[in-house]
Amino acid sequence: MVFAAGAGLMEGAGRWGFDAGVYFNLFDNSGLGGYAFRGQMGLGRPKKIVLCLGYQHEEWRDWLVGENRAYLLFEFRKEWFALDAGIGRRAPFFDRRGYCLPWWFSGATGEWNLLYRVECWPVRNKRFGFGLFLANISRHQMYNPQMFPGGIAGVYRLTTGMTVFGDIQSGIKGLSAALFSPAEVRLRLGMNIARAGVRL
Amino acid sequence: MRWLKSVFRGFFTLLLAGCLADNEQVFLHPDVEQRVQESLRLEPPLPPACGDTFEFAVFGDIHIGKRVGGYLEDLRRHRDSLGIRFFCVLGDITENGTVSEYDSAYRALGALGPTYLTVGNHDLYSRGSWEDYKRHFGPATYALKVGRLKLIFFDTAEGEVGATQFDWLTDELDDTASVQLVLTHFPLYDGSTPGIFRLGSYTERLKLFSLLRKNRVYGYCAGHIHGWRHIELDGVHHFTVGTMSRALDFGMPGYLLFHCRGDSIDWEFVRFCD
Repeated sequence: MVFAAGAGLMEGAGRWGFDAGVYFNLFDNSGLGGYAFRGQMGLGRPKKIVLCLGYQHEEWRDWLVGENRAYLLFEFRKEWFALDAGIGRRAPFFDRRGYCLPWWFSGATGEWNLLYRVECWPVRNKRFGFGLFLANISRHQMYNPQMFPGGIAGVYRLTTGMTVFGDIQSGIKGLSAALFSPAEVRLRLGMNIARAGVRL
Repeated sequence: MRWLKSVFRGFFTLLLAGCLADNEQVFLHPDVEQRVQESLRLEPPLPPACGDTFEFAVFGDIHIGKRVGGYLEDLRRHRDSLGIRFFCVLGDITENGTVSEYDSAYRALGALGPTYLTVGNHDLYSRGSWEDYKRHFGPATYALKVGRLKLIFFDTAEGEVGATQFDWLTDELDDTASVQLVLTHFPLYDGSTPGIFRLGSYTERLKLFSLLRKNRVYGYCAGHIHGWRHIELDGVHHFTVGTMSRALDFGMPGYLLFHCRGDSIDWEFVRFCD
C-alpha cells in the first residue's frame, strides 16, 4: 500500500504546465517510494498535441534497488478519447550508495521502452465519467510495454473544484509464454482539488 | 473482472488458435505459486557424483514433438569425446506437453546421461501437462550441489517468478561458500531495446538483478529465446543458451559447456553445424 500526493500548475490557458508528485510505501520497502516531475507544452494553434517531458525516480529500500527514468511523450486528447505515444529510458541501480541517487542514468542494465496510453471514456458528463484505458505510463510508473497494463477508471465531481477518482489496473506477465498470467492488481483511489475548477 | 478475463480469453484464443494443443490451457494451467509449492514438496533429484573437476552442458528448447529434429544424437557423441558428466535442460522440453511427447523426451534424455531439468511454457500446453512433467522429471524448483558448484533451478514457465519462489531463491542464494549458477527458462536480460521474450514484470526483474548481484552469483542461464547470447552485467554472466532443435534456432544452434576445476569455473559455447 502506498500514499501518494502531487501538485500541478497550468498556465497560458493550458498551453504549458508543470506537475510533480511523491509517494511513500507504507508496508513493504517502507519509506520513500518515488517521486516524479513532468513539464508539458501545447503544440499548434489551437493546441492539438501536447509535448511532455518527464522524469521518474522509484526505489525499493529493502532490495537496495532504484530506478531513474526519463521520457518524452506526445499526447492527443479529446473529451472521450486520449492517445499518447512516446519513448522512455529506464536506468536501474543496485547498490546501497546508488539506489537513491536521482541523477544516475548510466549502467549496463538500462533500456529503452516504447510508451503508450489509450483511453476511452464512453460515459462522461458534467457529474461523472467512466472509462477504459491501456497504458504503460503513469505519473510514478513506467511499465514494460509487453505487460499491456490496462483497466477501468471512474471519476465523480463532488464540488466545482473537487473530484474523487479511482481506477483498477492489471497487466500480463510473460506475454511470449502464451500462458495467461495476470500481473498484480493495482487499485488507486484519490481526490483532485483545483483552484480554477476541475474539468472532467 | 470477469468481462476483462473474457476479453483476454477471446484475444488469446484467436492469437493462439492452431498453436497450442489445448487452448483452454492458456487460462487453466496451474499457476507458478501452485507449481512451486508442489515442486518444493517433492524430493530434489540426487546430484551426480563428480568430485571437484568435471564438465557439464546446459541447453534448452529441444521441443520434442516438433517435426524438425534435434541434435541430441550429436550431443551424445560430444558427451563421450568431451567427457561431459551431466546435462541441464532449461525448459521447452516438449512442443505441446502431451504424454507421448513426455515419454519420448524421457527416453531421449535418459539415453544422454544424468539430466537435470526445469519447466518451460511449451511444457504446460496440454491438459495434465504439469502432472506429466512431475511424473517424468520431478520438481521444477530445486537446488543441488556438485562439488563446490551450486546449481539452482527455478520455474519461470510463464514469465513470472512469484512470491513463494522469490523467498525460496533468497534463502538458496544466501550461500557465498559455493560458486552459484541459476538456471531457468525465461531470460532476465534481453538487450537495451528488449522484446517480449524476457521476464515481464519490471519489479520482479529489479529484485532478481539485485539478488544475483548481492549474492555474487556466477551466472544466470536461460532459454526461451532461440539464439545464443551472452553478456556480463555487474559481475553476473547472463547466458541465453539457444536451442538444440534443428530449424528453430535463428543463430547457430549449440550448447553451453562449463568446465569446473575446484573453485574455478569456465565456459564455452559449442556450436553444431549441419
